[in-house]
Amino acid sequence: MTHDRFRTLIDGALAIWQADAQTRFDAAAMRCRILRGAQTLAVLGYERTAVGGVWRIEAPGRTARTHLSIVPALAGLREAVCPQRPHGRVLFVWDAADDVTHAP
Amino acid sequence: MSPLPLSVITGFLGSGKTTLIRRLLARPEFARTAVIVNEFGDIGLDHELIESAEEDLVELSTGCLCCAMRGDLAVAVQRLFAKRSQGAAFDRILLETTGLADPAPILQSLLADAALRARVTLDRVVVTVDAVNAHATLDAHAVSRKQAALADLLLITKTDLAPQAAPHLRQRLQALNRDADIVHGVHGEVAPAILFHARGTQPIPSPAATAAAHPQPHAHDDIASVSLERAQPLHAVSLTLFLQALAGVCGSDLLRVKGIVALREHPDGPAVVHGVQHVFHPLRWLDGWPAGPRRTRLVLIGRRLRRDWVEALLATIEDEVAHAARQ
Repeated sequence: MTHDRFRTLIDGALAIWQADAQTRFDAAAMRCRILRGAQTLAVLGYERTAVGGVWRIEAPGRTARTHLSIVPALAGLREAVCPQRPHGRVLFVWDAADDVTHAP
Repeated sequence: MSPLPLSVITGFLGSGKTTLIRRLLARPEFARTAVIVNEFGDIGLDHELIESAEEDLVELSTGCLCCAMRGDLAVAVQRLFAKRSQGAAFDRILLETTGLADPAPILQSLLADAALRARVTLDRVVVTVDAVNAHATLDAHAVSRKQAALADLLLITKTDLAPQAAPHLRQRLQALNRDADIVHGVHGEVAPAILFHARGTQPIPSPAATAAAHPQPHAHDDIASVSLERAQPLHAVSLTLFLQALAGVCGSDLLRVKGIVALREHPDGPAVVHGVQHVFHPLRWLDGWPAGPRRTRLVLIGRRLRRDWVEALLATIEDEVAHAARQ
């Protein structure tokens, strides 16, 4: 993880969400404060540990969460910054064409 | 019995869908083609304009397929197959949508509906774009931009009436959907071989080959097409996590994902990935690689998708999975 990639991951997600928010990146650490005006919506940090990269999300009024993958970290960020935005899920459809017993 | 290829013909009102189908059906190579016409309004007209044997035509005129009639598509296909069992001879189906249809729910039905999947398989999505009115239509109607973004092939029509508009329109369409083929056709005259492929042979263009030639997204369009390429095979779990993250972040703003993927767990041939919004077809394995470089190529179409974000997301997931594999 580089600082550039860390920034890209956050900025790109906020752009997709059209989030009404600003970012303030810490130059010394991989840490970003996401604000709406003067209000902090969330603080997202990344650090490398013995078990690999770890993402930590802190948001006012919420329990701080630690994730071992970017995937739940982005989901947590969305909940903190854009809670009204529905969560999308992948649905792999069952391949009916391979099972003629289910064909009408 | 193998499912029959079904091609979706869509495009905004008056863009030439019916003209295209009429011309296609007049050609001998389209003699064995059935047509489903979806019309919106109390009086259906398009089906009257399409010269087809009655047993090869089904009209859906009680509403728009993308809204209230998704279940009716399965019924229409079932009716066609009932006619086939009684002697109607066809081995291809064309589905003409209404001009106002959002293709995504229709494509989702084709992927997800068990009854449909047993009988038909999605071939290509052909979108007609009227050179005379396209710019105003694309500006004013989000559904027309979505139609263009979901196309496998964009057919610019009426170029005889607005020849000066075609080059600019092509640029705009490329910005919406850089990986779709774009062809011109006047009065529906276009070679069928350009319009339709046999199943599973759709070429996935190389991002490196297309990136330099194609313009950046139009300033007023938030739909972007992003291509990814990887020389090294992916772990299967990386692909799964990547799709999960895309769907989770983008939700309904993820319009389409397609491509071929080399997976470490399956070295004999690549997997075909095909998804519309959050609904994905099960991975289909090819026996070998199609022509071109043997590398993963993915095309993602969605709103406000940034290439650097998509690249960073996949790279991060690949790093996480590689680290876990070393533990």
